[in-house]
Amino acid sequence: MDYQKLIRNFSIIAHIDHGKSTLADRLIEKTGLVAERDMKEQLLDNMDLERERGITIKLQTTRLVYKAKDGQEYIYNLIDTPGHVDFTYEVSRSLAACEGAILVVDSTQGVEAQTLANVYLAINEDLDILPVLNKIDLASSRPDECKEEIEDLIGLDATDAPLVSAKTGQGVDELLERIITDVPAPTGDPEGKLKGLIFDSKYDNYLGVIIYTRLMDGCVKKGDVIKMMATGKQYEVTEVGYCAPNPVPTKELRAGEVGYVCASIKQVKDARVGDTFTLANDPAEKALPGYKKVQSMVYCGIYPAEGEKYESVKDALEKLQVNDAAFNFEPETSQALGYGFRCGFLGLLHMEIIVERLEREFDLAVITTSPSVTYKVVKTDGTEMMLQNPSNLPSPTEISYIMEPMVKACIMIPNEYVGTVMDLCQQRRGSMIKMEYITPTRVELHYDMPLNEVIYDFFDALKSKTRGYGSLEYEFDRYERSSLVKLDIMLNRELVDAFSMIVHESNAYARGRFVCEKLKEVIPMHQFEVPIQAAIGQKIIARETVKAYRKDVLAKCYGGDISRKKKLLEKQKEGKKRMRQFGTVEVPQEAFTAVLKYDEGK
Amino acid sequence: MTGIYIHIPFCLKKCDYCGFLSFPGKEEMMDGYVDMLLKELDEYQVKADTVFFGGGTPSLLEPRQVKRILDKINPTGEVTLEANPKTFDKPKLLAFKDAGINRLSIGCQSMEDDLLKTLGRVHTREDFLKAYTIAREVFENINVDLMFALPGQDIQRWEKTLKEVISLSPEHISAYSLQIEEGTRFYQEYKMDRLNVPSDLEERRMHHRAIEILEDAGYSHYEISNFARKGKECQHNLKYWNMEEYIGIGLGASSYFKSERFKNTDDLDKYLSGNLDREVHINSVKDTAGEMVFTALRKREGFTKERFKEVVGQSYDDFFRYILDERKEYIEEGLLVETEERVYLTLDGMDHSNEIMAKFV
Repeated sequence: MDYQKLIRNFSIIAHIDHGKSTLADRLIEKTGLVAERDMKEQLLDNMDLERERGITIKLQTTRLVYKAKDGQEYIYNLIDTPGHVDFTYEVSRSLAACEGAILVVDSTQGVEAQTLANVYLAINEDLDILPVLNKIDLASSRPDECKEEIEDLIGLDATDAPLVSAKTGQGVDELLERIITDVPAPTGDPEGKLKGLIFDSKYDNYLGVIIYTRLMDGCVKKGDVIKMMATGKQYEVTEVGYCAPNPVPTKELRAGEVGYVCASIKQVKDARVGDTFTLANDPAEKALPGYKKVQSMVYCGIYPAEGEKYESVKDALEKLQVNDAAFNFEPETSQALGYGFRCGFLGLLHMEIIVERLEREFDLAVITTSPSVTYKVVKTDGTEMMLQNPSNLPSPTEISYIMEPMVKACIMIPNEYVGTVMDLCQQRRGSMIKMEYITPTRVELHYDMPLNEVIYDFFDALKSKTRGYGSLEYEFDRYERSSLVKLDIMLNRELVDAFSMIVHESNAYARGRFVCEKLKEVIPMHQFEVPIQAAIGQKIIARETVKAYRKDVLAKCYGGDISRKKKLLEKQKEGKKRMRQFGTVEVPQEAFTAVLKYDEGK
Repeated sequence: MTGIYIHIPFCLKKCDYCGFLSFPGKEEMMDGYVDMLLKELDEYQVKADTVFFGGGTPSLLEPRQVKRILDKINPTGEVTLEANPKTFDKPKLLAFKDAGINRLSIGCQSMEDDLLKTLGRVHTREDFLKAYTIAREVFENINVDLMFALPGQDIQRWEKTLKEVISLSPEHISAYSLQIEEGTRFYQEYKMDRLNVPSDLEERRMHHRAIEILEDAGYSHYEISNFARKGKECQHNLKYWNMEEYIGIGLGASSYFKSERFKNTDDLDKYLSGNLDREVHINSVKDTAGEMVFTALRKREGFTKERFKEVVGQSYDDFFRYILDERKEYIEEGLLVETEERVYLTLDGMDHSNEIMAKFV
């Protein structure tokens, strides 16, 4: 098809901080899509959080029009990809929408872990890869060495890799030309049966759910009735168009094009990433490959912090859910924290992001409880229950056995870290399935691991032990019977259910000690001693004590500051009262996350 | 008559336990600071008897600066200046005396160099002894500040310091227990159990020992932490414990004036720019009653019910009927004494003073 010759669909892939977003900004600027003065840095990362963390969470896609040296106008569809293990599936779907990928390598750093993980995803999707060396304006740039690394580590010919500086714009003109020659034009039959790949979707207050799509075959226009092939649900198309990056309506979308479709869909979960839509009255026979239903892997409780309303948290969670198919929640109660919600996430980062968005975008203070996976509890009466909140675990006499979710984990590391990482995996109860040398210096480890070992801090530990070179992917495999116990934490001899977690028997002591030590660091001194205890059932397995304030009876009452002394006395009185009323101590919010953080020394 | 407290937030070096408002290395701001103090004094048309320069390290002031302040106040009674042993020589003290200072309070804290070092003090035992000798030549009324329950200190070491100081025969001795203040290095160390301070029990024993030794040596234990030769009680501090008026000027200084408690800003730049940003609290009857009790109970003699009525406007027995049961319990336990005329804590009561005082606020 002639129109397809002028289309290039591609992604940019890179290690964090190698300049992906800056390069995207430069491409947008050079093709004149956005006037220079309107450029916000990192245009595609549109959430504040993304800009601050420098990572892409939600995808953005944009269409650029490039007037090439051959006199033709090309349409470049740039599809941005998120860059974290929690979102690997989303990355693979957006790559599936492309024919090529620009691989950005920081010429001062060389090839790094994330580079490889993403390159392999791209290779899996049969994309043509155009390596680009960035930051060549810096004195420490060493493009020739980097080219060699790319050839050795990835096996790509990097001889002609464009040298660019996304910061100064140097080399970007050449890159724009190279996209024409190095990224293939799309194919697909516009006369064929409609097949649209959903690679992202988001909720818009005016348009409803916006589906971001790559049409593989066929055409779609306003008024068509489309059908989601995974769910069978049908919708009438109200608008089609492309993103620039704001939506611009067009008459139709054709095979090979990238754009958006609106069809009065209420929730993003009805337009799932990876699904295929087709025409209801002339459907395609088979959906596009690769659709997976996204499942929450990690659960935690989210509770309004003191002074925050339950309803406001609920409203905010509902709003976030509309836009995030992978996030779900339902009400629950905690003895320690009152009314709140049990929430499901893709992984820990996803969880942190949701919590941060609650805090920033909705200005809410929330408390999150220890994250947990879903356990399968088989009771003595033969019934099974799925357990997402550790404090709901039935009493030991009612439990026949507990099963935990196992994942297949794939860890990619430079060979020098093999020993360290194998130790780490062993500590986390992993058993190795196989080890592969992808290149002479790069190893892929395949492990069978319990998910609950992966979710806490495994990724942080892996990064720390491999200096950031390790990458991790995991996929749910099965449930397996395991010796699991509930670890309870007591403050001042009162159980705080929000801290309860399910751990493997073999780790219980270490985990208990770690949590007690962490809590001791973050809980402030009170007027009384606060014992922190970890227990399994009735048995105390670890104990720390937060010392009491000294009584300060004999203290100086300085310069007539009677009010200060009075406040102290009032606090002493109140402190006791609070103890009686709530049977608990003042626990700062950070305590709930502090117990989860990876600590190199421990 | 009113007392005036003047806060001087400058010091040579911040001690590791110090949670007071004080900053090292800002001496060049002292003139501007004194200007501000004088401006603040303009607000009040009062006659003052006592003046107390506290800090920080007030002895870092130059005598001419002290003189500017005292010339303006023209006090009629006790005028105290807190001094660090490393900050003065004899001519400076003579000049202070000339400016109107008549009582020197020297921060000794301990007679043992290793403890002084632990505290992060800038002086040594030798420095203190030299300073004391000079001070003795100039002033007839001297206080020595001591601290106990220090990391690594035991009761024998505490006795040694006490006896040595007694042998110098100052008119007044303060003995404060080390307070662990939030925001200090000591706080974090203490919380993490790395500060080897004596237990509460040990602390009480040190306090009791101090009372015995000092009383034997002729000092009267007139307030929880203060000891004096007859007639040498600190007149200024007594105002705090007697619910009398006082004015605090300077950074973060507190006042109790015309039934209002107020406190200046803690922000030095703000203060220097003339913005006092005061926190004001108008006392309710309950506030006044509670404060009356807990401040006066710091004194061995406590307070008279007559004085209570004068200050609060209601009788003690009526006002505190609502905690009658608790009071009775303390009385039965031998911690609190209530007679027809007077209310006071026993020595045992002083050990539990915070708990008892808390009942009244």
